[in-house]
Amino acid sequence: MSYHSNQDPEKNLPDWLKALRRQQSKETPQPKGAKSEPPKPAAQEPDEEEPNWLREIRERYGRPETKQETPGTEETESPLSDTQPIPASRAVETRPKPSKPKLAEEPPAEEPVIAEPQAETPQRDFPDWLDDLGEPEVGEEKQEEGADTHIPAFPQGSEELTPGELPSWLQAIRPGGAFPQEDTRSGEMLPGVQETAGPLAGLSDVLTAEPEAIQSVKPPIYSARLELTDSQSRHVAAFKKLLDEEGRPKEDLGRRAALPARLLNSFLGAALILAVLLPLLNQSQLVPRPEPDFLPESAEVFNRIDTLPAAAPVLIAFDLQPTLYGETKAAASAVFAHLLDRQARLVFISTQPTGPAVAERLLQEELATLPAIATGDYTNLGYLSGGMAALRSFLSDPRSAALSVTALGMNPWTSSTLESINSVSNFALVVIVSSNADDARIWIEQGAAELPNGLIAVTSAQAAPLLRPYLLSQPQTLQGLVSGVQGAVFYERLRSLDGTGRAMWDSYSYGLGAILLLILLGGLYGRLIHMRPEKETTTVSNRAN
Amino acid sequence: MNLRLRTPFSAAVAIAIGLIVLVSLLFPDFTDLRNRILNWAILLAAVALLLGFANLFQVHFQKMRHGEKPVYSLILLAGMLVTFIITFWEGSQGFTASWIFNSIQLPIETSLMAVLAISLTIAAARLFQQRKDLMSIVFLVTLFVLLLSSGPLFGIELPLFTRTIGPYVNNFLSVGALRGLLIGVSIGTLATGLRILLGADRPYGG
Repeated sequence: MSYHSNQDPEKNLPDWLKALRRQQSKETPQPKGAKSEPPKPAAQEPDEEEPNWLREIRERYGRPETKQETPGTEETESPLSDTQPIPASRAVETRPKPSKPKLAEEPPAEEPVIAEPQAETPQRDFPDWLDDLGEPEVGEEKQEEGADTHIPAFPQGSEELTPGELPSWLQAIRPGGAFPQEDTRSGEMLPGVQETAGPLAGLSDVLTAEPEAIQSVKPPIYSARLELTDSQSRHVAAFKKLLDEEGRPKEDLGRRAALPARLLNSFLGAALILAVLLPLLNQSQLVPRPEPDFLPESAEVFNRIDTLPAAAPVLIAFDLQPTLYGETKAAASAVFAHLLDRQARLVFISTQPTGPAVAERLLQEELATLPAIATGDYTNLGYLSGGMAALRSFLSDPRSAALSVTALGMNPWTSSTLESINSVSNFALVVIVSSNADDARIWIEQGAAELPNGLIAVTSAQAAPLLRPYLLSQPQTLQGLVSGVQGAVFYERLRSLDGTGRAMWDSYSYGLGAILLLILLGGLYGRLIHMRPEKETTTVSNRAN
Repeated sequence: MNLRLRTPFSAAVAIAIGLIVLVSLLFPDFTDLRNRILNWAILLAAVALLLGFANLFQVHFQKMRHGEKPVYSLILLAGMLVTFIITFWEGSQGFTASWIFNSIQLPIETSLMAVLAISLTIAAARLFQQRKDLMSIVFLVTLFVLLLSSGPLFGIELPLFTRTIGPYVNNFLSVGALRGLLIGVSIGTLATGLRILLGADRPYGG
């Protein structure tokens, strides 16, 4: 270690290190004549027992054993070597004396064998050209300067300067203020505690290797008994009660809930059936019929039919499904009866598989007494399969359409009714009878342009709202509409007749009222049912609290 | 090779047929060709109905073989076969076919609708037991208004509902909503037709 400064390094040492050295010097008194008596190197003793392989290595590299004792092989001390605890045997030999730096005068043979020269090994790794260039000179210089490489920390004859002492002129120009003369933090950071563990054992004023924070302490033993307050005990009891109620089977509760529900359902069904059946059985006709201006769209149907010429061919698209036959038959029979009274020649066709059968049933059940039906003076083209495409084909060219009746060997176009029909525009009127709004919508959308005489519809009550946009459009694509029982009764009133609609009207009125009343009572009952459990729940929660 | 040719071939046929039908609506000279194509479609639809019949028969026959509620499948298969044979033999207007329809099918379907009316009434009555939110209230209020405007209740007519509120709901609110719905359906149909004509959608496969 060389110093390029002329200052005394011992004086630059911190206080704690100075104290450490003082303490060590007290603990290990320096024996007299230690320097004159070279210690026997520890590594020389095992030379006699040195294994052959180690000896071969030494001989191969041609390194004389005495080379370790040359001054050039002096052990390079680490910068912190002076802070480490020094073995007693070595402390005497290696610890430098600050006041008398005579390390260079000490014989190199005193260096222990363990401290092998590390500076020589890299010279072996140098390339040959580099060795040729500088190795001999460097080696010579090193050998020559071997004694001079140890620069004394305190060169003789140099003037010792006290660190921190400023000249008076410098102190005069410095800004005012008090400056600490020594580092006051050292006392706080390095308390005077002696290390007891680890590599720094025995040193004082060092940071402790095992701080108190990580020292294990035997955990305290707590009692296993739970101590509860009165409030906690009450909460535990309430919670236990809740759990017990949850774990109880709910069969009884389900029976209690199912019985009123079943009774309510039975009561609702029975009341509704009675409200509908009693007027039918009584043949009551007490409920007034709608006024003549109540349904203008139905009045339009009446006007169109009433102005038909005699023996006019009328196409009836009968797409009524059996499901809603009971409701729609009243309106359909009223309109058909009017057509037959006007001596219209009826032609039936259906895009539903069950349509022809339903149409036949309606004619035989409601209108069998009329002469045209009784004599069979009507034409049933049957089922037109293919949906919208088939309808498009039929509207374009009715005679080329694939009809179900042709499969039976009949040719309907040869009948007196259809002789003059070459296109759908030849029909005086087209009537759509449908229970489904979609079926009627297809007829309207596909046939409105092909039917200059217009379209009218007879539908169930559920289809009427969906067809109303076509009824109110400009220009009208649907000229008239009779829907449901109400439309049937209104149409019968226009015709001053009492038909199927009138027989159903009282039943319809009472059934409607019963439905409204039952929904109202059911809603109130539902509110009561909901209020009762809320009350019980609130009571339970209040008890638990 | 079949797989490679099938897709462009079927797409070409579908697009060509669609274009012919579309052009025939604009030019009357193509009406005969269009009707011929439509009759082909009708025949194919009839064959599809027959295929549906065969598929239903196969499904329930397999169910009966594997013992999955075989009684119901047996009844269905027996009824289907008997009706098919009778109708095929004497036609849809025959006495036995008409009797089957008038005595079995029509009463059953009508009864189911009657039961549905009662079930809907009970469901509406118990609506507040199941749900009591805002939409339930809106639903029930609308139901009350329309029922009150549908006719006289217990023989008593309420002119406020039958003459004022009912027509207003039917002619304005209902028609406005349905017109919007119909316009949406029309635009959707138009877009679907264009996609098929352009080959973007191929519902026929490929």
